Amino acid sequence: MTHLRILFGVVLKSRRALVGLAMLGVLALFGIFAEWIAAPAPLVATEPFEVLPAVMHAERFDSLPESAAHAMYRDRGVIWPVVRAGARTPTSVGAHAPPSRAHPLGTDAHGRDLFARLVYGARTALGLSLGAIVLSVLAGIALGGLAGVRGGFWNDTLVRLVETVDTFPAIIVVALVRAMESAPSAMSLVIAVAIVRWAEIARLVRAEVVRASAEGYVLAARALGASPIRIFYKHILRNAAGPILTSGMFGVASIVLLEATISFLAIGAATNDASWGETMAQGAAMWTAQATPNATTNTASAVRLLVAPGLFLMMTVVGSYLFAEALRNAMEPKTARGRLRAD
Amino acid sequence: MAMRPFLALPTRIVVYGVRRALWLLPTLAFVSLATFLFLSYVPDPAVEGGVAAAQLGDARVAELRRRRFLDLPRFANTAPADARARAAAAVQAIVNGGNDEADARRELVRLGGAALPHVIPGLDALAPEPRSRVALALAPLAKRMGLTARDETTNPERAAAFWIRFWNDREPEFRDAAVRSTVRRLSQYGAGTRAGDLRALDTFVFEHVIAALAPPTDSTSLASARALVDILADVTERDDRIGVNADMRSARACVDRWLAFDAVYGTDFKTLTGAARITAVGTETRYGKWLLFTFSPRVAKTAEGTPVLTSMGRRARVSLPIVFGAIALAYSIAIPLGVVAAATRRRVMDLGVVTFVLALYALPTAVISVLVANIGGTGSLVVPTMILALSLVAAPAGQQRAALLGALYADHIVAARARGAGLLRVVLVHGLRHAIVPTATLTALEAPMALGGAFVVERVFSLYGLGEATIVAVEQRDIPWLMALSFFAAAAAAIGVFLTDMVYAVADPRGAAGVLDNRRRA
Repeated sequence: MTHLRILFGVVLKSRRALVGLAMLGVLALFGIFAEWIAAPAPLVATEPFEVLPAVMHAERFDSLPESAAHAMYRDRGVIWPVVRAGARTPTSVGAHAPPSRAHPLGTDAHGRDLFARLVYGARTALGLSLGAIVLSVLAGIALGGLAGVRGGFWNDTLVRLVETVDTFPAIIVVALVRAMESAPSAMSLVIAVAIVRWAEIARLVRAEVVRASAEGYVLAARALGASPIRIFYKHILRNAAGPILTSGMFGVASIVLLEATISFLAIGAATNDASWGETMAQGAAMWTAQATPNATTNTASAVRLLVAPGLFLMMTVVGSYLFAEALRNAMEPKTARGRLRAD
Repeated sequence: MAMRPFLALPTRIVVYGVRRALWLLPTLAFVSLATFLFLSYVPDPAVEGGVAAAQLGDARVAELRRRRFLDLPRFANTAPADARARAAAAVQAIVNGGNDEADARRELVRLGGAALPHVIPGLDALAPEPRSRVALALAPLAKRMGLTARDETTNPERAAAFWIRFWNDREPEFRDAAVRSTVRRLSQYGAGTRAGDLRALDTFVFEHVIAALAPPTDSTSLASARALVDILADVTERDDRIGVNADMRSARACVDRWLAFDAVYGTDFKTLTGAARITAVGTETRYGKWLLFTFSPRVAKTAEGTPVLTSMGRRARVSLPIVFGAIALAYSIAIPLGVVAAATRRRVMDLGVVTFVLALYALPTAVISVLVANIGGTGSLVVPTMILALSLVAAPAGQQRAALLGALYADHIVAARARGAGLLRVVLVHGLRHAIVPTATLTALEAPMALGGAFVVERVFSLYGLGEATIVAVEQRDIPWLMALSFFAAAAAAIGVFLTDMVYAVADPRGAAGVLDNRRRA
């Protein structure tokens, strides 16, 4: 994978790429180690000895009230995470509580800790992106490769299919998938997004196959008797790794925005999963309610519910955009850098 | 190269255009099939919530499934269940006796007059005891048809003989052509005796009465619709009539309900022969019925009674101006921004523009629109359009910047600079001419991406556009709406891509030659 190594060498010299990578890295750490940052149960507890009970016995804490969870560990030697509430824990301070020491960002409209919701929201958003991108890359490589290698009918069909899928609104696919299921699941959303996104990957892979087929090294491999599959896998696909990676990174931005849109609109049945879009929808509802005369809501809470997830969302989008753009620039050495030297 | 006769470019563009246009048809067929396959996994009432289904009972679940056409095969129905097939099955079940007999008797009465041509002639072939059971099962039907000699029909000894005699006397009346002309006279002139004649034939007249039934528009057609609906209600024992004092709106709703009833149950009262039977292989399927309920102006209605397509058109008049207005606005901002960024490459100005554009892209549409909604007021489309445009600036600005940068290092530009042309002249006259085409052709691809944002803006500004209707449709599992939506989205997208390619080919004939050749070969 020297090709990718060179690519990363170029990318990592760019300051913008590093900023983007840092933003994504922080969010990814939030997502991966969500239970270490905010959980209804301690990291470690003694008598009896337990490690991360919030992960090991997730169902026990699913909607256990905060006070009950704390009572379980009152007189034991424990190490708590930063925030002592999970994304689904009903806290004891009630809905729309202002920031406090126990709940650094306050609570949302259902009395759940806002900071925990945001941290677990990172898991939802990035997990969805990762799942959908992996799935769409696999499908895209298979179909794009097939079209490029076989040519003829397969190719014509794929080109039209890619065009149709590429221009088909993702939000409608999501709506169709949501209509299909009785309880919304993360997996179905991953599949819905992959259904829309594979086309772009297939287009890139096919273009690479068509381009590389005319190159000397592919001809040489063919002359040596390599099978089309081997040529595709060993000689062509590696050149396509860069474009695929770039498309995937740009994909993170648009998938995270799509996820926020879907949960903001609350398409389909309600869910208890943490999502930035859902929190923003609560903020939107509060903000609208305060315009009516005798509503007893407070503006600070509405702004908090709108702006905090908004910042997380922006961070993801900006991070992946910066990194993806650096990748794209690094991949056009012949054009971009050649011209730079010329002027 | 020399092998292929060289066609003049316009001709080649036309040929290419026709080929592309022809590709639209399989594309749309594919999309409707794919949508159908998706939606055919919408939860089945028999499976969804096992407890609830058990409480409803088998008959109710079967009816629910039937209303969503889950009893039909997906694509090809080689044995459509028409009056003949259903009557034969019911008679068979009565002859066999056992647990199903009671259901089969009810079914036979429900099928009514439409089943008689297939039941009575077969009575002779049955053994005496099953024959009288079948004949007795028809007794409630005799009552509904207003036949005298009621005691004969309930007498096990004489029922079969009664029905055979009945058929010998009345068979000539069970003719499609005769019924059709009676129905026509009834709907034109209206007369009590004709209605009585039709009632005497029971459900045999169903398909002809439905064919004559149309949503009323004036008092004459209201009277005719009322008479026709009365007959339908009598023969099917489904008490849904147009009242004497009913206003036009409720009368139309009633007619719509009957047309929808026909689309689901109509085949039960028809005998499919010849061409009708062949087309039924396609139409009596889940796919066929769903298409009917999506596109037919006669039966495809939303819950409020407006046709699906009309309602979709009304919603689109809210959503599409927002989407396309935002795209136009975004491009009119983005192209100058991209030009400025490219012309000032690697200076503070460039960095400023790039950062500004990225910030616009990353700002969540939801947050901005919520914050602005109270200020901007609701109802007008201007503010929503502007908000949606903000998130759309990034892509074309980046594209324009990259394209112009590429163009600025082309030989003819360098030559122009060398001859002493200023930066402004070079950018506007020499550079932009080429660099604007790829950006402009992106516009068609923006619309599908902007749709999600448009849904958000609509929600926040309480505009009743496609977004609101779609969310409701997902909640209610409104299959026709979802099918129509996905079909039109695909059609719009396909036409957009097609037009873009053609514009590209016409705008840049030099590039077009390459595009066309590549497309053909690759």
